[in-house]
Amino acid sequence: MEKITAIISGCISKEHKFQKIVYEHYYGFALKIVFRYIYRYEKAVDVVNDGFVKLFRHFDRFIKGADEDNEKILMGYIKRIMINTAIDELRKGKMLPEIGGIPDYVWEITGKEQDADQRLLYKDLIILIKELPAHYRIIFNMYIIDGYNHFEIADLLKISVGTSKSGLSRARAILQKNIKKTEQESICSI
Amino acid sequence: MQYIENDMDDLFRKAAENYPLKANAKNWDDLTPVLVNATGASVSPNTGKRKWSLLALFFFLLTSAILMVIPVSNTNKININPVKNESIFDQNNASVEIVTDKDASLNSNKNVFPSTGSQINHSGNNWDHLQTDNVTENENSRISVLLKSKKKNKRKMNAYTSTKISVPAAADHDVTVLNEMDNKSKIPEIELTENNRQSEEVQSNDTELLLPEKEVVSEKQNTDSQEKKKNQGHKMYWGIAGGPQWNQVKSQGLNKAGISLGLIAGFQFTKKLSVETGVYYSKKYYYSDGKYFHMKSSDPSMPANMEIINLEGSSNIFEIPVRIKYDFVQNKKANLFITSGITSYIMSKESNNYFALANGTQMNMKAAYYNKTGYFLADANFSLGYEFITGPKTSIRIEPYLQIPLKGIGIGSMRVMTTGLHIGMTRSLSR
Repeated sequence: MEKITAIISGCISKEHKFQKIVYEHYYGFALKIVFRYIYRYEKAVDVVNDGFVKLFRHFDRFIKGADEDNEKILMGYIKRIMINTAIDELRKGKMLPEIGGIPDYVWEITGKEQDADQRLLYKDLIILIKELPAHYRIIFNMYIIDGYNHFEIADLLKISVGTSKSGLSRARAILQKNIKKTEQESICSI
Repeated sequence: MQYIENDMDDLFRKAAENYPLKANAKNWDDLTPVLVNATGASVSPNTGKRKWSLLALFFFLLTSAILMVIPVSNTNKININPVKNESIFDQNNASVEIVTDKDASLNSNKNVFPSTGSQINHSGNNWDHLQTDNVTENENSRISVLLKSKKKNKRKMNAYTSTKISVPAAADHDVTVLNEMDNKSKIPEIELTENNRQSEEVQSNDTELLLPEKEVVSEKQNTDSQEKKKNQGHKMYWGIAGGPQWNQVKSQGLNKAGISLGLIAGFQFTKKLSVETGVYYSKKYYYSDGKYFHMKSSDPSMPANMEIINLEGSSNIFEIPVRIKYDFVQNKKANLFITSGITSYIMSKESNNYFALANGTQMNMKAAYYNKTGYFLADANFSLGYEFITGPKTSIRIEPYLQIPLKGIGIGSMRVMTTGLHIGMTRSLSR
């Protein structure tokens, strides 16, 4: 990949060549973030594309740092935009629960990897997060995985700090319960 | 329990980083058209100047189009036949020269009745048609009569037309001019016969016309001037106006359109000059780089070492303009005007979305401010407008405008320039 600073400068100048490089390089990273928030895979793909449109539209607001830090700053910038876009999408759907399961074709598991078991475990954990109610899912993702504090969560979601904290405990309780249930099922199956 | 929770949290963080998700759905070609539309329509600091050039071009084109459409006419003179001795009707070898001037009638002392028998018959309400009948070529006589023409328009303005008729007529013909009567001021039939060479007698049923000619003229003069005064008199008017507006700080580019809606009150001093004031409620949206946001007046709750990188903001403002309006082109159907003045603001709400740097971390912060703050003489306003006169008291105006800031407003004391379009309706309060 070309020097990140040059790519960022190209994106600020709205040159398609550099925008394409950013899109293709960070697409997987962005999709993994959004898929934790959005239940449906196809919807997550759309949200990622919307997020990239927003990113390129407002790239002039990106503040460059030192060369060695620019990639981290860019990834943080992309992460923030993707999370906001995902939350906006969930708000449009009024945070209604979704059902139907996650189809297997969205997972990249061939079974031949050395850490296949580990990847399967991670896959199951993500499915557990996705099965949380939308409000709890957002709070859990933002606090535990994406590093937001309760004040920031409350401000973004227009809720109180107390609601954010209680949402997090409720999410943890549901996840613990589901993990135990899954373990018991796997023991029984053996 | 806490250890279990921490372990669980770590597990989920690892899962989020490493879970196996297919990412082959990316398609740059699908994104490109959306991106072109989005980024093409988006505003960057470089396109700010382009936008202003386009606005200036729009103003110029609008002015040119309006000037081409409105027939610029400052006179009320009607020339039926401006060329002397040009015949209108040529019946029986008679030529009739007619020159009409609305105002001339009042000053005309040249009402000379034909000394010979020249007959001019007039029929109907159409003053432009004068038929000559039984006129011979040999005799010339000038007949000057006061004819009244009724203007059929909504404003019911009556104008007097003086007609100087030069009729080469034979001595033995009668001249009869038939005039249309009006209830208010009747102009009688004027009959001149051959035997009445000194026929300045006017047969009339209206006592007014028994007055000597000069007195009749002066009385008509007074009535007309009174009517002119009435039409040109001072008058108050009110109206409503509203429309979109675009705002920017220091030529950094326009943000999404805001809106302005309000009431107008005006007083017309002269035919062309008025003074207007009013109250407008406007919602302004703007974007700014942090360097134009002055931290000194910022909210004390913001971290001291926070650096504003940029912000997007909106303000709810009550605007009170005071301005002079000048109608530089006037027509019975439309006017073209310019205005210039000063506006004061009362800001009722401001909300800003800051993108800031604090402790090496970039963050988004939102803040809303509800303290009502007044800004006296906050900007200078200019506009160029087109006014359709839809009725005797009402008119509709289209008015692009520009507001240039004279001082900073809001929590960051930013100078916000505004351009927009007002579409409105005004109504006169005069009777």
